Amino acid sequence: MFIVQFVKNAIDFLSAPQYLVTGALIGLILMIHWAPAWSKKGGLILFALVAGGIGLSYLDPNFNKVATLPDNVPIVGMIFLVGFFFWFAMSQAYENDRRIAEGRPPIEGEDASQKVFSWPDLVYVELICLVVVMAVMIVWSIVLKAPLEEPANPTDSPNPAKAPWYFLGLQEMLVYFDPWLAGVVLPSLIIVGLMAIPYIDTNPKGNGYFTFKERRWEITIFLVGFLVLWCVLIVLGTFLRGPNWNFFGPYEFWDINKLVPLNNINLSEIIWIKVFKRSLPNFWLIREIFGLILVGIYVAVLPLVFSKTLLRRFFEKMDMPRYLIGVSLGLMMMSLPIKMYLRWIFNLKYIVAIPEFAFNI
Amino acid sequence: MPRKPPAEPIDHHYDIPRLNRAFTWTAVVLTAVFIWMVIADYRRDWKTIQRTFMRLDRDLTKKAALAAHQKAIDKEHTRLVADLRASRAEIAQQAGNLSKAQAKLKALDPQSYAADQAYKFSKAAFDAALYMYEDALANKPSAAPAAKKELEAVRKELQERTVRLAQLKQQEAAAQTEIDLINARKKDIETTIEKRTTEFRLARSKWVGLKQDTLFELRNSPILDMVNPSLRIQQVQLPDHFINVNFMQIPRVDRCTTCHVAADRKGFEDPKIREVYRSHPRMHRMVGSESMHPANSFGCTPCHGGRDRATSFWSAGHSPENDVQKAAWTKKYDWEFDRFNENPVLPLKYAEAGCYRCHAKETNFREAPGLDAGMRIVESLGCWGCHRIDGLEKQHIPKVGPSLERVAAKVPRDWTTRWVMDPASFRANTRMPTFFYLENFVDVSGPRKPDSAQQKMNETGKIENDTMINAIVAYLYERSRPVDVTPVSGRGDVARGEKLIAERGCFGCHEADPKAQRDLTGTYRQFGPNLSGVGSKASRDWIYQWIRDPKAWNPDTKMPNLRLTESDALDIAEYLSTLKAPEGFDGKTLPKTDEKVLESIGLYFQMSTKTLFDAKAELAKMDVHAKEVYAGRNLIAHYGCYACHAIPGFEDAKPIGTELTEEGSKAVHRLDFGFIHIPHTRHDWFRTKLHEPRIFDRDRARGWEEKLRMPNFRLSPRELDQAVTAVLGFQQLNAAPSVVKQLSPSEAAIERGRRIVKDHNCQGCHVIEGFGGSFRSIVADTSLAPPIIQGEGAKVQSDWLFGFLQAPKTGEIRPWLEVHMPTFGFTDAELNDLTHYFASLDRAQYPFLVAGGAENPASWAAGKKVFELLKCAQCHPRSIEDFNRPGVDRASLAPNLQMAAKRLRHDWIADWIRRPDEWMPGTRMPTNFPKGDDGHRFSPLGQLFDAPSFASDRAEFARILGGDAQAKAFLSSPEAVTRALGGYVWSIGVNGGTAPVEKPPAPAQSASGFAAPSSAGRVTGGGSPGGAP
Repeated sequence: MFIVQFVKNAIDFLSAPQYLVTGALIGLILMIHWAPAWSKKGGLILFALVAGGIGLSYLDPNFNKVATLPDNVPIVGMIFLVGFFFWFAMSQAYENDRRIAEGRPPIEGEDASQKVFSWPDLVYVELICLVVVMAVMIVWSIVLKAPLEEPANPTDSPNPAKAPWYFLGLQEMLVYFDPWLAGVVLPSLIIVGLMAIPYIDTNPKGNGYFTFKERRWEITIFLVGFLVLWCVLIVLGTFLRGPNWNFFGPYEFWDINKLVPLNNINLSEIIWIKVFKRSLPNFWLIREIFGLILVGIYVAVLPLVFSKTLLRRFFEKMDMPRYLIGVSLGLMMMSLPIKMYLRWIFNLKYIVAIPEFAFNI
Repeated sequence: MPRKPPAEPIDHHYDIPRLNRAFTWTAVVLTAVFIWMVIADYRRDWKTIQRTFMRLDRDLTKKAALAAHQKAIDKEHTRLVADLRASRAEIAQQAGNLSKAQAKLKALDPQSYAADQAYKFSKAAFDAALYMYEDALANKPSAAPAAKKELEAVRKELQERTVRLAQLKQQEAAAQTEIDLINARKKDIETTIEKRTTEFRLARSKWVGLKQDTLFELRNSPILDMVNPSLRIQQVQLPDHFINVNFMQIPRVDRCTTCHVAADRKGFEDPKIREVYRSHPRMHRMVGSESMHPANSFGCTPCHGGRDRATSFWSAGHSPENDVQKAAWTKKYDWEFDRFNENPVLPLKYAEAGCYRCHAKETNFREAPGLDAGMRIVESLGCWGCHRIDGLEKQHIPKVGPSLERVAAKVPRDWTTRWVMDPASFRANTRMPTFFYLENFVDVSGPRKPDSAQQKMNETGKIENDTMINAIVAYLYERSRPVDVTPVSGRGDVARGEKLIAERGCFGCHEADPKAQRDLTGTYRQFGPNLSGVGSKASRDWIYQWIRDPKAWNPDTKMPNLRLTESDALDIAEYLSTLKAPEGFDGKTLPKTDEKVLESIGLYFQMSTKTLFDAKAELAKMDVHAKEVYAGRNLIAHYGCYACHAIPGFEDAKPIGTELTEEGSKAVHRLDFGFIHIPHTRHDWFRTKLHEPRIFDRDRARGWEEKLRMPNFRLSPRELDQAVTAVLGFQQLNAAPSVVKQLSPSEAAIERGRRIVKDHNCQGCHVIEGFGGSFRSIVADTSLAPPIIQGEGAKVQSDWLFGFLQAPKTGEIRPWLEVHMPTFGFTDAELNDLTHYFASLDRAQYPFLVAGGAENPASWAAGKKVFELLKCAQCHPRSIEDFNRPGVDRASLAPNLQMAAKRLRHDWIADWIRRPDEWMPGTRMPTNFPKGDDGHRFSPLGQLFDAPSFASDRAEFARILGGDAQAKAFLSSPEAVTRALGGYVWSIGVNGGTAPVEKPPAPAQSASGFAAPSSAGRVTGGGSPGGAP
């Protein structure tokens, strides 16, 4: 049918990384502020849309081929699991916010003073969950067998060669960042950052109960980092990256011969050759001075500027070390979408390119 | 101390009864799922298959058991059973004696046990005492006497006990003998019955063992089957055949017999049995334990391919033969294409490809006809010319196409142009492929209707091809070496020429039928080109010059010299020049060169070494003709014409195609499937490619310089199957040398000879090693046909054969033949290889032989008489005069015996006379010494001895041999008679049959004074006595 093909083509077009990430960012920010999404009805509608969309997509042979791979079935599951718990947390948060506004205690506070026995109130439910999970896992393992391929042949690597799902976000980052940054620096910062959250987050609100209004910034930052910069990139890496790490829409055939020009240019090349119309200086410090200055401003100057303007509230609440660490981590996190947009809009390859040390930003 | 229960009711956070229900139901689900897991784990298709096979085996065993029962339980058996009953009755009569003897034996048992023990203890004590004594003697001489006394005492005791034991043993033996005597007859009968019913009993116990009873089910049930299951994976480990995953070699472990249970067992050949249960065909060649490829050291996958360790139908990589089978398998076995399996099982029609890996050094593959045909196609179509194939490169096969070095002197230019445009339009069965106007240039026969864009592409393609053809021909005619064709005076007789072509043997390598289909494997008469139409191609004078001496025109030609007389050659040339091209060929419109296209072609080639401007400048210096020649040279390099033809300027040029040495092992993803939707398997790609080599350019937008270049060989579906089999056979060896066919020195000699025989098409005329001789089938009377070559190595002297092959003489051996054995101009190496080949085939002595010995005069004379008696001379001329005598029936003639001593091996002659039907089945030489009822040959002359009509001859024989008895003994022995005959025949060649061959004079005494060794005859070497053959 023509209309179906039109819709598929539209989805294929809009799934490109630039539209997907932008859409996800804007969508997320808007949705978490839109109360009707977090009611039960809203949740059911959201579920119906997602499940219906994915279910109908299974009718497309190209989508089907990718989405029924035993390796990718858990990711489909992940979409629903993460989506459900996101919706659940937000709906509880909104409910709590309503109650707090009315002066009532939050949901979790209803029977907070009461004490109960661990058995059966805590452990029995866990036992039932255990049984259910066991049954699900056994059924899953019987129905979807692990694929056994040929013994690994060093001269015949599979294409695409994908990382396990929990690293697909990092593999996607490799498109935009130098491997040193994408593979070592940023993942370390992710881990360090996650560990540092309790020490930076001085907001006393929200202990033991869901809330959105009382922890708007914290929740927004985390959701951007987790949902958009992690989960969406996993979905992108699973379903939308094909041979040679080319982008393929969900209904596109994974053509191994697809060729997309990757004409990316360094900042130093833009400035020296395009703007100044001179040849690149040989000495790296001179050549990359503009990029280095920009990065220096981003890393050293912006925090100080923010302390007086955008993030003055935070600066006043936290003391200097906390603020600096928090803002630095935040800036590092935002460097990923910033780099992505620089790539999509300006075809920018590296802000700082020092092949002499194999160090590029 | 028990705690006090808490006060009721307890306030719970959850509704406990609800949780209880939830827990119950989820636990039930978990249990069910767990049972499902156990079942799913233990259910295997191969177990079902083995069970079904057990039932089949049981049915067949039952039939066999019943048949054996029928055979064993006959009248003899009934008699034996009756005898057994009688003997039992006899024993019963002697019951008293028997029981007494048995009682005695029983009573003796404890006594002998005790006596034995006592003896053993005594022996031990003796050994110890002996030690003590010796120790005392050595170290404590004072204690020696006491020790000696002790020793003697113990010795005495030992002796007594030994005697006692022996006595008891003897008594036991006596009692046992008594018992045995009584039971003797019964035992004999029982043994006989047992022997006669062995087959039946074995079959019955096998039948019982195959029952799938409770014990069987228990044995094979989950958990319990870890002990000793009867349904189990059958595997054979093959470390010598390994899987190569680059940097590591994994031994194969073939599990095919898990399902193909009877593959290595005889007895399941019935075609009605399901294919998976059938015995392997031709088990004496493969798989059988007596064959060269027994299953336990070759398995299955080294030949058939597939995933060795697989235990399911799909996982093994079975490939459907065709779409029909694919649909059936998809329905029955849920089969789907496995894109991860790089080496699926070869479809059965290509199964012979697996032979080539280990047998690559061989020339013919008689046991694998598909592979043999495929290799013949690869060799004769010249695939190896463009595509390097390591094994074939070492064979130095001559180029398959004629040399173009002097083409301008032979062929008119227009003919060449029309030929290059479409060879098949001149000669339907030519081996030259079609290079131009193929689908990637001019696609008019493709599946899509030509739309306007396609039309435009077709027009461009046609113009490009036109220009290319003209350029190539221009180069060939520019560089052709100038040679003059000597004009011949006179006219030949066309009718006689037509007769001569059939008679002289031209048709051993050539056909002249314009309607002949190409058949590279079923006939050997398409070795040389089809002669129809040759009159349009070459002039009469050229043909005359050529057939008189081909090597004078082209020293590298494969065509031999038939030693034609001048008039013969003129008649043949006259006739051949009347054979004109098929209709439409001579009038075909010649292509026109488009100058713009020519310029762009030239520019492309120039720019491979120059910049754009330099290239243009270079081209501007050339006129149209120079541009054509330049473009032609580069196009010949581009399309690789020199792969088949010797072309001036391309003497050292390298092949342009992909190397095929390991094509059968190539990773599938390295094959370019383009936009063609065929299954991603090697064999599908090869077949598609060979069928239409340019097909993978479909839907591609490429300039002529990037388009595919392989030409279309117009292969028939059968040729495709065979060629694909061959290419699939070009695999990585991946096997230890111990399992690969290694050629012994004599086998290597045979292979070298076979290669020469193949390269010179000997089998066009002769049947060699049981096949070939296509020429014989078109000769009305096979006695006028070239002889069958069988047992040649044992038959002829190798040095004579050397000389004969080097320079055959017409009319020497078989003067009545019109057909000429050609002079091939073999090199010394080839002649040695050929003579060695024939000798090795028959395991005959090579190269030197002590030729025949002296003849006993009496034997010689007797042989001469037998010769006259049997009228051998009726068929065998002894001289040219005999042959030319009037009234001689040529069809019944046999080889000239004057050649015997020079040509034949002395001992062979007698053997031949004795059993010609074994040496050459179907020969017209009569079998004078047939086999009797006892299988041994006898001499009818011996039986004839006493007949009255034989009286005078008998007397003569008695006179020669010194008595009647000697004569009768002589005539009754085939060996004696044939030896005598052989001696006489030998003398025909030495001295015309006038006297027995004498012992040659002893060599002179050597200077050292030692007596020279007496030799029975002379040694024949490179030359033969009596002058050149």
